[in-house]
Amino acid sequence: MTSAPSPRLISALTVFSLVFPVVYVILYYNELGVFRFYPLVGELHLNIQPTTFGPAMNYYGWVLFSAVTAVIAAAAVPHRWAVHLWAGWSWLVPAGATLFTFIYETRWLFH
Amino acid sequence: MITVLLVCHGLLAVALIGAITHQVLVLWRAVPVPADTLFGRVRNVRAGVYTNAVVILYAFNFLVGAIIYATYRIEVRPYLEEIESFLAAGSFETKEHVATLGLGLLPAYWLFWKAPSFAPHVNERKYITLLLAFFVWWNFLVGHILNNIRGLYE
Repeated sequence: MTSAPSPRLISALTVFSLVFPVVYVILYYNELGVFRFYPLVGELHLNIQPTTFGPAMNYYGWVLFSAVTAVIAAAAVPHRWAVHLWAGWSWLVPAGATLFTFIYETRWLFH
Repeated sequence: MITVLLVCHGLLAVALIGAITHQVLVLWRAVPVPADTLFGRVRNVRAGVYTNAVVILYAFNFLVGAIIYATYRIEVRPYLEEIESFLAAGSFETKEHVATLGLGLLPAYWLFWKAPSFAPHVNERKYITLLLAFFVWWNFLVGHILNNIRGLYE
């Protein structure tokens, strides 16, 4: 990459990185199924299927929905707003999401 | 096919670890160090040149991991639950989430290294690179242990 990114692209990438982790954490914490993948039968479904379909995976839906939401937010937030974002949010928000994830997943220790 | 992908996943992770660790060591050195030892040379690279490689390797490795994940869900996770290794199963959950959070972090990471207007943000670049490096190392170690868990348990 030899040329500098445009101010609009900079704003968009910043907003993307802030929105993505927040949406992803909300989705997985609430186990909101956007769509479900059933790896045993290799099928995608919007609704919960019988147990004969095997385990359901919400993960792909979470990733896709987070990415799409972040892209929409990145396109929608005006550049004049984005430039006022404090640079520290870029690492603090993902770091907070990571800390939350590790605390949340301690639930596995109490099975 | 899955075995091939798993090996590729591991190899990509090793390359990624090398690149991001170089960057962390360069960013977190307090003073310039002479490049007269192996460790000194490791900390004296032009760290910025690894940025695009890190982004591409991370995104590609995430994709490979996402493909493998379906097989893990139906072949490995039931085994972990059967042997009541909930620590291992939970560790994989963190790996899955951390990998995804890292994917979202990539645009900001790239900006802090590549956008000239972000050049003065030295501390932010340090923290964001350290965070991404933690993601990469955590995922590598968890993945490596889980990959060998049958042997480790037996």
